[in-house]
Amino acid sequence: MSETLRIALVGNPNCGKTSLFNHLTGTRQKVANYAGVTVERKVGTFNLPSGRAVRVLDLPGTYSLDAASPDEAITRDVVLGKIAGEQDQQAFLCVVDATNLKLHLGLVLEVIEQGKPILLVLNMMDEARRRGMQINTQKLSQRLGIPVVETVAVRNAGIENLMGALENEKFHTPSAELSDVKLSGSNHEKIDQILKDVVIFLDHEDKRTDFLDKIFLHPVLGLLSLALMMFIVFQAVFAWAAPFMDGIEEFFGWFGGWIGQFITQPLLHSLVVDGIIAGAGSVVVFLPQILILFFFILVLEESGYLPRAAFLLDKLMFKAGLSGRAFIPLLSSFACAVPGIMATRSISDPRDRLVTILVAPLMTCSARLPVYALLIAAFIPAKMVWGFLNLQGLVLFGLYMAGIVSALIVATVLKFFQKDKSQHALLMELPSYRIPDIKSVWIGLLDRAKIFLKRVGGIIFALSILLWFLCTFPQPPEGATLPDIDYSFAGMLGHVMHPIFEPLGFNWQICIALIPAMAAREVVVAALGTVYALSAADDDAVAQGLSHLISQGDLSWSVATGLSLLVWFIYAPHCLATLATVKRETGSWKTVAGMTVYLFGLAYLMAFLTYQIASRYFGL
Amino acid sequence: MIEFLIIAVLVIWSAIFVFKKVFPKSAYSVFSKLAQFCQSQGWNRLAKWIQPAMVSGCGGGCGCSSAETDNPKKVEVQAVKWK
Repeated sequence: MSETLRIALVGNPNCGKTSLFNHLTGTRQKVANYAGVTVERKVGTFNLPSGRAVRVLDLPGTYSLDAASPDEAITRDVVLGKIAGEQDQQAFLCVVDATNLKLHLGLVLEVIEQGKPILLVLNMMDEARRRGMQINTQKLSQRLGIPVVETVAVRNAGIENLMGALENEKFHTPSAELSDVKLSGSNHEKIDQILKDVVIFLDHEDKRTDFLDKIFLHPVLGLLSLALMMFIVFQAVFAWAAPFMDGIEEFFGWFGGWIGQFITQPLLHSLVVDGIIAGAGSVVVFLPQILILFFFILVLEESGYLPRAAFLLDKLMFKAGLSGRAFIPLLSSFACAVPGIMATRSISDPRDRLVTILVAPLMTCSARLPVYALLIAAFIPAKMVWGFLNLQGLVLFGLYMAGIVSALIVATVLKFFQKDKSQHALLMELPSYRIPDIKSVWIGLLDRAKIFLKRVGGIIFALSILLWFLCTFPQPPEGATLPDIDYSFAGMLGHVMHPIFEPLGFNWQICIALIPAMAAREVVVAALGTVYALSAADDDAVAQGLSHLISQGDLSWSVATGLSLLVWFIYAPHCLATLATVKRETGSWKTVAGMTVYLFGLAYLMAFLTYQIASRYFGL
Repeated sequence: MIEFLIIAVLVIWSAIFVFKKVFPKSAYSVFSKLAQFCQSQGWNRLAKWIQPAMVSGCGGGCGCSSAETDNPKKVEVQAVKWK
């Protein structure tokens, strides 16, 4: 068998490079219908039908080889052969959006000028045909002097042709043999000349996109529709998920009782029922809510609506000192702050990038959802407001908004400390609207479920065991009068921490749960599940679930405590992975320390105010 | 007795797992040193068993790629500073 073929995918942002990469390699790298999703190079391998191995490099999108941001610099350096280990690419697959050749061919011409072996991949051909565009690919190949292959990467169409082209090494340095016409002038003039010769536009306008943009980009209708969309999402998260969550909760209650009868040794029984099932099991309950939230996010990502939302909010972000390009990283932070912070590489200005990194953890990541859902279900009555609004959904919407508003306020405050006050306008490509592909949404949801369950089966499971150990040992002395957990390591630690958090209304059980929550926010739910299962006097109360334990009965919290903990989680940086990512991206421990201090400080202050106001003035 | 043995094994596994997940770089360096020590003592099989795989990704379990072993040299990312 011959040696491995090395290829790299190059192209403008949002032209479908990563979709193509996923289809070729069988991986599931994140894709979406907006620019700036890929910010670092990804490597994958696959085999051609002949069995020959291919190493493919997916590069961040760039409009030109004059890089402005760190992600674009990666692409530039790979194309120019400046990165060690990546110099010997045998071919560059220039992926272009067939519907937007005028913009995308600019980069192709720049790569051609480098004299590299190229294969042009004309992607999104279905969309081009829908719009009545006719592209003469043979002529395009002749004008550019490079071979051309048509694909529709999101639907796997044309991949066989591409494989065939790679098999036959149908790529080569731009050749005069293919080139039938000598192009002259600047790149813009060359592109105009090419388009005139090879593309026939039956209709220049994309009517669907134009019509929808009249609504979604309208200064009033656009903001109204954005607010309405967000509102529907959060209502659905509570209203639709309830029956599924009840089912999962009942299952774990039954499962704990069923498995418990087979374990006769008391310590092992406690480990399995109170430690693992009450701990990790209490987190699984929130899977339906996470999936419903991500269903909406994936549909909006696929449709191409999200960059419009960035455009609508640009003015507001601009006033707060955030660059419009911060929208996509901040949006990614709603899934997880780690990829959100990494996505700031698409921001070219270091000052804007740092501010975005500092406020990204304030966006409500999916790990917060189980915490919010638990506390809302426990302390906010499930009633309707004005006959059609679910109060619990309304509170969840408020918590998400609180994170966004706080981020804008923090960014505004940071603006005053900046010496460089220059501002950068948002320049962003708005993609065409697309009907979301059901298969992609389904795959996205499966991935999300897998990630969540992997966390439950991994870090949350392991932490539940550790916490059970700390809550169980040492065993109470003879003649002990307090519950067993009070004599344990965790109990002792909780009592030491309690005075610090008492002004916030936290009891010592909450204090214990905050420590393992540093590994991941949702661990606080598992930790509370374990601590309360071990503290509860009877098994019936445990079987009714954590929400019941903290809202009713002997160990219940006041409403003010519940609200205070909710507010704490809007701000507190309970995620070591996020802090590690900030260190990697900024190269500075000082920034990490500053961010940790300001977020914990804000969390303490806001939770303190919430508890004091709720308990003193509202008697909650 | 068996009860305590099972609990001890589970607790030690959990502690190692959490250490590796939360502090991937520190865990890598600790286990590498441990493997080197075992090798110097002639316990080659144990050293091979302890030797950790190269860590990559964020360790946050958020779906970031953790299988980029083909990509050992990291791209120098521009550090951001106040202007």
